[in-house]
Amino acid sequence: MAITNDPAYESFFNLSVDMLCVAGYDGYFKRLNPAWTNTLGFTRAELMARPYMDFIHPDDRAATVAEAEKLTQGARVVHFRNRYECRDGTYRWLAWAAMPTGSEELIHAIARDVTQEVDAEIALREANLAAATRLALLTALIDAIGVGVVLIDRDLLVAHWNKEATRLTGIQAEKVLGRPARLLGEAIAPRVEDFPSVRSHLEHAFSPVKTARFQIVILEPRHDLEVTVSRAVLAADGQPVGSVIVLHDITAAKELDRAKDELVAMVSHELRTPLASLVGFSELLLSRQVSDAQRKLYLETMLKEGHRLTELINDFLDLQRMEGGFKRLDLGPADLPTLVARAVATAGDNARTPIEVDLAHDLPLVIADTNAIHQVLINFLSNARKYSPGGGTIRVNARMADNVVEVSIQDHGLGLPSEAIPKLFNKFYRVANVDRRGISGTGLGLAICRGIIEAHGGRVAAESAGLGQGSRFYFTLRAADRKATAGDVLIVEDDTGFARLLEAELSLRGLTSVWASDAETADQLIDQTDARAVVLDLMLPGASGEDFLARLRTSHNSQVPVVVVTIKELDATETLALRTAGVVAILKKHSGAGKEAAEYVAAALETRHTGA
Amino acid sequence: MSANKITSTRSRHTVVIADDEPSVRMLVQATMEVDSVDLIEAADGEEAWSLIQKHRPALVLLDVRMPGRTGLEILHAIKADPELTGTKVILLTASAQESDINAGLLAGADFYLTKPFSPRELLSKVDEALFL
Repeated sequence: MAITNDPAYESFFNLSVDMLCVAGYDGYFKRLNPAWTNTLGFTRAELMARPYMDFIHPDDRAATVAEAEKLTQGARVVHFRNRYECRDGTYRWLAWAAMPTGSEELIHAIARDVTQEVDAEIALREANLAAATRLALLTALIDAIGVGVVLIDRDLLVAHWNKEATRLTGIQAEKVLGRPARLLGEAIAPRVEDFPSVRSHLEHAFSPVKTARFQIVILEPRHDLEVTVSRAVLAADGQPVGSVIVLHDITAAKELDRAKDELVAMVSHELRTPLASLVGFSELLLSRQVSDAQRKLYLETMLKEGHRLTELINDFLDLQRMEGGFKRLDLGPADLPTLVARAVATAGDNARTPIEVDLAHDLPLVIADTNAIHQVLINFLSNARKYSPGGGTIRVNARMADNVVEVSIQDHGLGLPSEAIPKLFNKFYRVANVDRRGISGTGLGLAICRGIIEAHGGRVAAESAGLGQGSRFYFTLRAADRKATAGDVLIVEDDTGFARLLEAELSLRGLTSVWASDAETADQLIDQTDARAVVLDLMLPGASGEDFLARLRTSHNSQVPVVVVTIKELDATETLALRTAGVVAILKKHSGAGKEAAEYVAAALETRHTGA
Repeated sequence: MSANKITSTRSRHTVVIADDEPSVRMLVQATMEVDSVDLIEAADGEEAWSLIQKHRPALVLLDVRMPGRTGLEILHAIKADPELTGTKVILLTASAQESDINAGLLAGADFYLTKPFSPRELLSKVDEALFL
């Protein structure tokens, strides 16, 4: 090769800071300049002793083979990059320019160490990926978070509008993205309450103050929003780079506030109206000469309004206890026909509005707090009567429907306008129309009924064909299942507190119990349960304890031991009658009577067990 | 509705009392028996407005919360009717809410009384409204 002997060529070849080489098609370096040793640390002899492929990073070898192939076919190579090993085991990135000499089967090539540039490129690519990842995560966060978020960039353009912002404002992201933030007011104007004040808030929001906070109301559907506009600044130098608008949905809190205000106003109104009569008429009585007739009328009115005030306060407290969950229901199996009969008896006779009861014959026992259900029935019956000023029969029905018992009270009175029905069970709601004028009420009765029935796990509703068509109110109660009617001991006791005490005492002795609050329920239970003993009160709301005992021994033909606990003063004849009926103990009801009764029951069962 | 006529030497005024509570109407009637007015009773907003239009009373005692039209709605209607420019209005409110009272005074009520009110106070307000 002629030029290799040229001294000028030789000195340029050795002088170059780039790496110059001549390599053969056989895969070995033929000549190398000192830049190779300076860059890679290997001596020229070491580099020329092995095929150059040995020094190339294993991952780059295939590409290098392909490039060398191109050279042997006469092509030039530029901008090719691969990694060469250094003596210390590290690799340097080399960028190549190479050409074949053709006839001599040699390659002339220049390589430059571009390791720094490549490292910088890789670092940049990684930084970009990290930034993109962070942005994707932040965007996902902004969209997933339960508040509306709007980002305004340094040019005051809308840069982000998340899904919640769309849901709350009804404005689609496409409508505002990339548009000037000052146009947001325009976009929101048709759907916001009191636009002028919103506009003035928005105008001040982007001025260089720290944070702006204000409330707006979006209409249809209504959303109360708290808007917070805060400025984003660079951590390094405090330069403002945009703003963040956060939209917080405070609809529920506002609704609660409104409901509370309304309740306070209602209560205040309802209390002040009867007070007006009490204060007014008493002042008239004290300050004026009035006739006897007037005095009577005034005092009667005061008394009536005083009662109304009492009723209102009782109802209201009832409702508060119910809603606060403070009123504990004493649930047990109960005989519905007995409950209905008792309520009808309490409601009393009225020739203009007679009450007819028609109950299905095969009604199961229901799960009920008998006092609470009595209150519900009384309420429905007295409403039926109150809102039937023209008279008419009131019908009470009960039937089994899908595992629940449905009780309905139907009247032929004023009826209900359809728009009133959904609000009927709300506190203080009263149907307003001419026919109802002068029919007083607290507006709390139905709310209390709903509270009681829902606490029983039942449902309450009303229906009416319209004004003048009468109304039908109905509620459901769960039927007592086998589990609810099972127990070792049947407690027949209308005093809830004592029944619970007895239950606990029996339970301490390993005995389960089932409770009936009247003799009629007990009558049904005795056939359904496998009770082996009875604790019996004598004074019960319907049939007496003595009646039940007689039926137990005769119609039910049961000889289970019976313990009587009563406050009744018994004379010798009565005591004898009980003894004859096989009562094992007669106890006076006092604080220790529960324990005593449980001991007698346990002893009696023990005796029978061992005796058998 | 019932008109309660009392003979008197003073010039007679017609007064409408609108309240859905019979006991409050009765109290107002008992209170005003000593005064020389024709008292007309209305038990709801609709009835009140038709009686006001018919009788053009010198004074209306208006309950704020009534079925039908509220007292405030009737007050606005009175103020908007050129034939009722001479009609004075006393609001009877049971809510004692400042917002109600302010709304009433802004709408042009001459006086308001909060329930429970003293009959003596009612009489003095009625006199003020009618004779001042």
